[in-house]
Parts: sequence; C-alpha cells; structure tokens
Amino acid sequence: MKKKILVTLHHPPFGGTFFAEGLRAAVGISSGFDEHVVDLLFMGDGVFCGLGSIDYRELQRFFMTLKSVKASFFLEEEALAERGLKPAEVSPDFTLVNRGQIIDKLKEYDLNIDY
Amino acid sequence: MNLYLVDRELSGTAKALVKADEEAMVVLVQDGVYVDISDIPAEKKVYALEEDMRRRGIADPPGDRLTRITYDELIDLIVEHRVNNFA
Repeated sequence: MKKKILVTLHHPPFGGTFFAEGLRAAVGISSGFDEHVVDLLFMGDGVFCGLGSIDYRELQRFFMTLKSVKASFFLEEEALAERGLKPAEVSPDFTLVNRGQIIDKLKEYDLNIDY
Repeated sequence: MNLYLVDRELSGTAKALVKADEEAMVVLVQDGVYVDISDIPAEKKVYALEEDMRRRGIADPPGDRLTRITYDELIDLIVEHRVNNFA
C-alpha cells in the first residue's frame, strides 16, 4: 500500500555512514512496487548537506534519483542558524522549514524514519 | 499524541521539538536514559525504558517526573500513538 514517508537525516554528510545510509534508504523506499512518496528532512548537523558549496560528487546519484521521483528536501531553519549558517548559503534545491512547521510536517506522513 | 523516541545523540533536536509540540510525549531509550529532562515542560509525559535504566545503573530523577516502562509497554505506546523517531 502506498505510504507517505519522511526520512530525517541528523548527521553531517561526510565523516560517517549514517548520512549515506539515510539517502540509500530513501532511494530504496521510493523505488519499490508500492511507489511510496518519500521526502527528506535535514535536521541538526544534517543541515550541512544543504550548503551550496559542498562537494556533491559522492552524493549526486542519490540526489538525482530522489529528484527524479519528485522528493522534497526540507532543511531545519533553526539548526542552520545555530551553526552560524545563512539561508543565502543554502542550495536552491532545499526548502527551509522552522520547528513549528516541522511538527506539522511530521503529522503529515505515515512514517518517519531517522538516520 | 505524538510519541518521541529519544536516544541521547539526537536529544537536542528532539527536545526542541518536544517543547514546541503541544501533543508531545517522550520515551527515553538506550542512552537516552542519560538525558537531562529538567528542561522538558512539566506537563509533558516522560517515560523511560526500565531495562535500559537498570543496565546503566540509573536511578529515577527526584519527584515523579519519569515513568518506567517495559519493552512490552513501549510496543503498546508505539501502536497507540504517532511515532517521531529520534533514536
């Protein structure tokens, strides 16, 4: 049965396996027979992924695949500010959401999987 | 109600959302039982897995702030509520 699934990524994009595993899981979820809807939410240190200046080469295939299934990429606004980053530094592929919006968003999905 | 499963590593983000979520309740799991819950608003229900506390030799915090539950009771909570996973 088709479900709406939110994958949340809390770890930075480099220096560990959590981040890539989260992207891998999101791609897997989107590619099954049920054609689940999958979106991604980057929180905490995960917001570093949203910087337009990072080297995306190792992550590009994941993002291209997820874009092809129309996944949305949400980025926690407060986490960005807490890390001294500015919205202007974020890639246009990402949508900033504040914590109030995140609470509402979590209710929209059938399932929330975190990495 | 929204059930937040909280381990220590992601507790900062989880607590920020819990404070802002009127329908939040919390279950501390694994190293989450080490998390300081004094800044979680008093009206929020906070549970902790007793097995995870016992293994780590963690005592109950002062007062009746925290409710110990078993893994079987956790399963019931997961089935009954919307789960936001930070564990």
